[in-house]
Amino acid sequence: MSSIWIILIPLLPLLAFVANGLFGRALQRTGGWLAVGCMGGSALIGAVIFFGGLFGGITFPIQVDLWQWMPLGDVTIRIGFYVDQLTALMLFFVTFVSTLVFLYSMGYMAGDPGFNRFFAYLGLFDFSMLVLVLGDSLPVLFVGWEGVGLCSYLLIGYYLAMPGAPDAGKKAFIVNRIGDFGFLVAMFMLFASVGTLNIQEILAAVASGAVPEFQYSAAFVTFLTLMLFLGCTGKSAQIPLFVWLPDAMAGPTPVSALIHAATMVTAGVYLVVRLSALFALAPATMLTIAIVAAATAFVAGSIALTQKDIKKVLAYSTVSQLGYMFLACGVGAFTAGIFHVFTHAFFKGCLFLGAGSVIHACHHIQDMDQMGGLRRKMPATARTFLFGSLGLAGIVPFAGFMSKDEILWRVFSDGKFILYAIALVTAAFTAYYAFRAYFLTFEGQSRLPHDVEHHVHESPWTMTLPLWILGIGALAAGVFNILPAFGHGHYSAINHFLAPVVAPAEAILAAHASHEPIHSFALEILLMIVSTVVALVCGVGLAWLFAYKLWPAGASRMARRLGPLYRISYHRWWWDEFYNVFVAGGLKLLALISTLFDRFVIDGVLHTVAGAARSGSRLIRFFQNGQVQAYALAILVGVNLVVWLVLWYQ
Amino acid sequence: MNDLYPQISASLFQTLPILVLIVAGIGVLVADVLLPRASRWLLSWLSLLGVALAFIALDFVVGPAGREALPLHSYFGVLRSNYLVFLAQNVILAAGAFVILISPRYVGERRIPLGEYYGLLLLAVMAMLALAASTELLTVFLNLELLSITLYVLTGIENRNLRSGEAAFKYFLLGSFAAAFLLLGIAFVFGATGETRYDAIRQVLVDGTAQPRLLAIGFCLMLVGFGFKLSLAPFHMYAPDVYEGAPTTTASLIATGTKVAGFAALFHLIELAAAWSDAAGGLWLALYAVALASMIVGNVGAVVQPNIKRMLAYSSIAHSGYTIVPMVVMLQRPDLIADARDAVAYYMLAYTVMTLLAFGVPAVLGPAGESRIAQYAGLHRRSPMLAFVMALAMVSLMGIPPTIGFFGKFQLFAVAVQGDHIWLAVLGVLASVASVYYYLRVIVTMYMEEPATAGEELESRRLDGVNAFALTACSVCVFLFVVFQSLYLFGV
Repeated sequence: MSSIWIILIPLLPLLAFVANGLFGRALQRTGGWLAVGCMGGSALIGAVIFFGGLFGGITFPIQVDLWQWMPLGDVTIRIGFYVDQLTALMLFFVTFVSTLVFLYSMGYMAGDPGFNRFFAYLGLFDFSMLVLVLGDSLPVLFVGWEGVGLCSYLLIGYYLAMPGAPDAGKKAFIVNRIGDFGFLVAMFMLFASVGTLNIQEILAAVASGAVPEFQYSAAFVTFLTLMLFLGCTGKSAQIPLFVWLPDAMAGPTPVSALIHAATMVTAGVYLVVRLSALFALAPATMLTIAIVAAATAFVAGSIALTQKDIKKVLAYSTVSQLGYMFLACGVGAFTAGIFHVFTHAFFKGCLFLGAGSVIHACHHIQDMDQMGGLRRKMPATARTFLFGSLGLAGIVPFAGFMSKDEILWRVFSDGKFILYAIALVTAAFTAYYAFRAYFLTFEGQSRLPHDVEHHVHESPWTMTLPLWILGIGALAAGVFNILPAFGHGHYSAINHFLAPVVAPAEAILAAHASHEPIHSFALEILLMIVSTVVALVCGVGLAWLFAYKLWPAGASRMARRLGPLYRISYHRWWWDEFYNVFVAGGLKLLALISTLFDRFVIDGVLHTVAGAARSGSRLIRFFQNGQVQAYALAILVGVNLVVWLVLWYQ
Repeated sequence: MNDLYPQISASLFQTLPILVLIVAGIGVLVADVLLPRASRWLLSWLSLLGVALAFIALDFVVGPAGREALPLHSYFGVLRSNYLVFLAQNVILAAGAFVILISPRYVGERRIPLGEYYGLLLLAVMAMLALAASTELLTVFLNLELLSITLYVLTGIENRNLRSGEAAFKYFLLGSFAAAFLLLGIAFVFGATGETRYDAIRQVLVDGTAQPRLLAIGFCLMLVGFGFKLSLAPFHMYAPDVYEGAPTTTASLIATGTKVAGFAALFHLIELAAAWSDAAGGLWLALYAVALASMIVGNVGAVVQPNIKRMLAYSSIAHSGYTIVPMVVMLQRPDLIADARDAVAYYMLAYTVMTLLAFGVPAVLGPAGESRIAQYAGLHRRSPMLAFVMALAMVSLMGIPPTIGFFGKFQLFAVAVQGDHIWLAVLGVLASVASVYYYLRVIVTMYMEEPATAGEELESRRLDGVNAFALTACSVCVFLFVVFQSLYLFGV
């Protein structure tokens, strides 16, 4: 694999960005097609690398050294790319889903006045995302990390005139900055202790035991990894920083599908797996991750049960699924976490794009109470949305089942029974809200306003083709990693593929494990049956009952009967209100104090200093009188100063 | 005699860019006489061709051959080419090309005689290339004087403008005054060591047979001579008057190319002094004082300047002060010479890029844009691109990331911190805080203020192609060399 191909992967989306950003007005729709072509090219290379690695033919890792960026004291920051199995997997699905979303946007954004601006942002996003995935050192990764954050901000606030959209963008940015702070602190600590920021060098140094901080200070390692995880909670929307993701739905729906479901929000999981050998050294952090992740999955899942806005349901679902991914990492099942990232990209991408297709057809109505019966008018969208729901709900044998059940089993076999129970309940939630959304939107009687209903039609091929591809992926992506229980792991291609990446971490975990993980084929099958039954009965069955059969009377009766529980879910646990009162309120108080300090202390000092500078300047101007004699005198004074200084010192 | 021949021919080859510029300069002067008046506009293209050929000679003829063999010694060690010189020569040529590109309309409007202007410009660039490479006392002096004389004429070339003549005269008088000190310093150093070639002087210094007091005074006096050319305080006082009076295109060359050549030459001198263990004694203190004075005088002095060119002159004084900070460090810490060299080299590039932009905009705006900053009010609506370029230059000069100005300054002060001169770094950064005020004022004027009266308004000007190209290329460099911070090494 020549390195030029690897460089091309991020370069092509950058080309799309430059073309649409600078020459958008001239290119118009051609610019969009150009972007689709560029992204397709990247996807082709990504697929070659991934399948080449999976089936042999390409050997990892591939190191691509680009150039030296800047010297910083004793070290020089190099720009380089590093491709191993994990990178290859990420490259494949990021470029693949991106290409489909780009194509979809050709239909969704057609006629939008900011068409080329949109594609420029998308191109920049993909460039940053690919730099994030490819970067061989933390600074390069961080450039991508910040880049995707910037693009996320720009795209959430894309509809500048829409009330709330710019604010949602700001919220995402600010909340992410809190996480970035953690990431930066972790980077400083790594640099101070290891002396390098190259990821592979860090891992090698830590593994060799050459770094005393990692050998002797559990507190150091725990704090460092917790700071890293704080960064991940920002980017990947975990408690306590998940509040920005639901608001991010103010952006165009293709953006929600690409950035806020399939790719960017999984960057945190990627980071944890990339540095898994560090996390494995800190059992306290691992436990924290598992608990936070399970709590996030549960809370977000419970909120998604009752939301009326179709995109909000999917947004909370994303938060919940990200919780599953981190839960897997927290119990040491890194490959299972990454595989869930992989399948999630397909089914959640499919669901979001399906929702977009519906919203597009319904003239931007997003409230599911006003939809219903759309299956007859939009058969392709309905079918693919059903595929996505099947994938998300974890029905045998579709993609979500393959990845989620492995996570559930690994949590159980690790002995974390409480977390397992929470995850199992969340699985029921998942199946419920997935099918509730499907039934409310596509089945039953139409509740659309008449003038809108008249215009509802199936979307153009540019939108349905990506839907079909992702829908099939949502059903079939599980084949890449058939549950190890079936066939004793012989068909777990992804597990084998990623094994070299996570081997060091797993070795550390195995060495420090206090108890043997539970190995029991019968138990595994039993739990699988339990989770399937739970998903089918408590999830799909109840959804059918309340969102279709008994809707709306039965549903509202049920809501009344559940009273407080329903309100907790519907009002999202009052999380935003809590932050508004305690965090934002505290910050406002701090801001008030700072203002007073600024006005009376800082300004006072400043005016004094500025006054001094100004009078100094006047003085200099006074001597600058235009007389050559005066200037020569100054030189003479300078000569004396310099010579006498030297002679005096000697 | 036979064994000298290959060395001379090799030297001729190694100084090919300089020879090309001599031929081009004389060629332009001759063409000026031969060409009919109507086709004299060709002269600017002719001189651009000369610079381009010199550039090709430097990078594609001499460069590839010499790169493995760096450092090169030509003419028996009189000229030396190393990494710093190679970079400085590239920057000087680029600055020369930029000045030629923004000149045609400016020169035409002021009826400046084209042949003399372009011919002398090429010869000035040639002298800069030679000065940057000089490592022999008399060669340094000759090249410095050659450069000075061409610049005196270029300053006073606008003979219809009294201020131009006044500036040239001041420049000439004070320049001669400073040159006397330089020559005296050279005499002292020669007297103390008995050698004029740097490598021979270094041997004497290492042996410790030099006359220490004589040598110290000699270095100090040479520092005065260089300090004048680099407009370091307190030898700076001519600079605001000269920059204001000289044609803006000339001023931009004085502020960039001259200084780059001077920095390279001064660096060699300080590198030499660093080899002398006693020099650590007092010389660093003198240089420290000069650096500090320049940073303070430059930044404080610019605060109340209403004239854009005078403001830029003070700014240029301050930037000279920043640039010699690593040289102060390396006098005491010879182990940091490589770091200091990298920092100075990168800052030369950074300073040139942003200063050219800052002078380029007034030059392109023409008569109205050359005097009061207040006249820039509302520029962003009439000439958005020019306003943007000017704002970019100001932001970079302030040293705000992610522009080249930030990374350049960062490297300079990083060397100071490495060499335990933390106070120098702190004072330098504090002084540059003051600079934010006057740079930002230009941006505020352009973007947020409206012209007070109709007469204050700058006429809106259409950019012609070459101007736009020069400004765009320079703006791209502000970011390009941030991303590729080590590619400026040209593979060395």
